[in-house]
Amino acid sequence: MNTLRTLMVLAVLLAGLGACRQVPNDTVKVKSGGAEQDHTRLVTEARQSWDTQPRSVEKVRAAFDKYSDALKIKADDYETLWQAARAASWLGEFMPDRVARRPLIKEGIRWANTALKVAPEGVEARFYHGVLAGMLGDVDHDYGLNAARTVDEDMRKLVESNADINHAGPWRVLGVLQMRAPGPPTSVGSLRNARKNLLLAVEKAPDWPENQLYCAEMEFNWARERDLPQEAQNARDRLQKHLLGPGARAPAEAAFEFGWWQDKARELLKANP
Amino acid sequence: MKRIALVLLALWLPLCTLAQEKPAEAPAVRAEYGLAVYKLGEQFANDEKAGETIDSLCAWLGRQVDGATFVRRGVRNKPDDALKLLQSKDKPVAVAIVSPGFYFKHKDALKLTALAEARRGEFDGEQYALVGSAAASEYPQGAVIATSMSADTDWLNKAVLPAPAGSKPVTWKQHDNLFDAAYAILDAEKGAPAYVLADRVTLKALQADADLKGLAAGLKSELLPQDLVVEVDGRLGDRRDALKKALGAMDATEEGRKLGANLQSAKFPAPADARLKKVAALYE
Repeated sequence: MNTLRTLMVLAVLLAGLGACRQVPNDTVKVKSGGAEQDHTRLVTEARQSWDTQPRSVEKVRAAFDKYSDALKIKADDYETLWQAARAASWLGEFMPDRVARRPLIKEGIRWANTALKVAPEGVEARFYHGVLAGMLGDVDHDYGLNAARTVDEDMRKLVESNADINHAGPWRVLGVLQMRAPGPPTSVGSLRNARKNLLLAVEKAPDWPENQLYCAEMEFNWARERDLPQEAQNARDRLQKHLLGPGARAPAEAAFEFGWWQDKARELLKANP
Repeated sequence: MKRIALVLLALWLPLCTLAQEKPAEAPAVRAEYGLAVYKLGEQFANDEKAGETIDSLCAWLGRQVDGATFVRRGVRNKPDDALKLLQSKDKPVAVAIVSPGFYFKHKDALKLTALAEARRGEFDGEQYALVGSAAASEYPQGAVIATSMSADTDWLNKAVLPAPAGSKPVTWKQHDNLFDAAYAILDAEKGAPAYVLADRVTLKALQADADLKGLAAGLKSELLPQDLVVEVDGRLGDRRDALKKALGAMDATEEGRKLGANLQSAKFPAPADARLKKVAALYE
């Protein structure tokens, strides 16, 4: 659901030029040792806040805070940890204040790291670890190059094991990174590889509008680079059908997000008349 | 006697005034030097995307060179834009990192002095190779070659791949992403170039890519200079040597190494004069 504003900006940092700080690998240190029942109650409340539709920054922030309190009591439950990381990544994407996003993203990475310690093969934790790493590179350019590498490694692992999560998320995230990043040797950008992954994302989850949005952006780029006007028309048709036209519908679990994607779709059309 | 006392008074008064006007700890006067960067063929070399890193270079240089403050004047990736920047009289550039082609073309008009040379990828000098589905053993007459440096065809045709007398020149085709050009060769796409012109760092990366192992590197250029740090019109004055020393020892400290990693050049030692002279002759 969340994802990619960060990765759009990430390319900036990769300009050669982002820096060499490593994405943190620290994990949660449980300090308070509170009661099990408090932990259970907090996690239940956090999930309720997350599940309330349509989402809003306030509701997801409330979920984040509840998860945070719960994980201070106990931090060995994989489900709670990756869901907490998911809430952090949502805020990392949709909170308007870039500076305020930074500590939440770092906390989310800590939760994802802990989840991966509990379950090293955890698909959800791997996915949100990569997404959050990308977001950290966005809000703090010192992490730029390492963040891109981390996103690339995490998503490749998921793609190679055909692990679908978040509506073909690994293919979508990897594709967007490849579409926006500079090419090797500086980074991992390649429009050809982006095309491959974004078309796969659309194939795997055609009803998820976010996949259609980024696929359309790729098609506009492909049309420009290869001088193929039909590709640009495909992109326009795609945006109308899945995001802007009368038949376009928000998925039940993404009413808030759908509005944001529609804004991006309009921007794309404006930039590619 | 009275006259002597008056003269002494006259001499003493201004001294006294000076002493009173001088603050207890006067701030040191720092001279400001404009710094510009021109990176040929780097799509992301602009102020928006690379400004932050170049600012960190300026700040670092300011800490290495006593009494100097370095200020970013701009980051450019097109030769005409870079030329305008270095010609500016309003915001003069004292020191710049430029492509070798830019240096050879404008060194006399802009009074450029090469102070240091990049060591991108830790390579001493640059050598380009043609990469294609088969290794080129000789000048590929009339072939289309992908390059990220098509904005400077002088550099390509005079230094990198001069056409032998009587042969049909190659056609340079701009590709911001050389890997995509290599994939186009591999995928036998319509309109794909025949070769990719790869510098040493790119060649190493191409050869490490599992998908591109089927491509072969052939004809290589002479050993050429990498990007150069140049002084413009003697504007560094007595800070020149300190700057050269700092750049040459960039990798001696943790801070410098971090900066070098961001700049993709571990250090900037003195340029190889013989190499410069050899290429300069090609531009005459």
